[in-house]
Amino acid sequence: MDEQAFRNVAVSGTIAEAKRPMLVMTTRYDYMMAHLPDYKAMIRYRLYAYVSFIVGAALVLAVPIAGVAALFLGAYFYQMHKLQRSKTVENKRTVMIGH
Amino acid sequence: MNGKNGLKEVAARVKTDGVAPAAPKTDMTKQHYMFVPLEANRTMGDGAPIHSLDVTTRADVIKAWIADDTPREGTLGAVYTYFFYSWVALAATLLTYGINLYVAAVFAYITGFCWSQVLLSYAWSAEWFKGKALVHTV
Repeated sequence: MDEQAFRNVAVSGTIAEAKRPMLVMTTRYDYMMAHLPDYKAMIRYRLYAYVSFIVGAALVLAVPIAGVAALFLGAYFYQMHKLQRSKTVENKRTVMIGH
Repeated sequence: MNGKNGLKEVAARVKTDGVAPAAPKTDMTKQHYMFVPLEANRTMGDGAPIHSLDVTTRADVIKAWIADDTPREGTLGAVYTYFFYSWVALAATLLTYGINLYVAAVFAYITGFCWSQVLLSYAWSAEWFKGKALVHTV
């Protein structure tokens, strides 16, 4: 073989630092069940936030200590609700569905 | 950044044996298959091109399969909806049984209808999905 013609050709490759695969192949059922708990948690946190804000508004003047605590919990649950939303219905990760 | 990050670790290996190691053997019978035609030259009835590989996002998948709990849609959300309706109809059946038998019979029919929708929706949105391939980014 005339190696002179290939003097600019070298063994090369792409080195990925990530130890996990970039794409994972699974089934629709497994993917759906993997994210169903997050969706349920989103609904639960939304309910908790509503209840906490209502209880906080009702108690903030009558029982200020309990009202402030309920409002704190309402803000906390609202943030958790937003977190779960970002993991589920607002997530932009790519999914490829085959036949 | 010198563009050579990581080369130091594999430099010796590249010099000694440039031949790539054999790929580990995998049991292909346990792999889920995915049918992807190389070229879509047909169209659907409405003129849209056929895309056998639907590239979408997790948000759209969850909205379509879980969040959409519309009855008769047959999604996993509809399973939850009809599950709730069937138990409400069953309670109504028991409550009206001693009052009017014909009213109870109507609620009994509704109970059976809702439960059949639970089974059908679960079959098409959960059991059927166990054999359908999906590729997602991590």
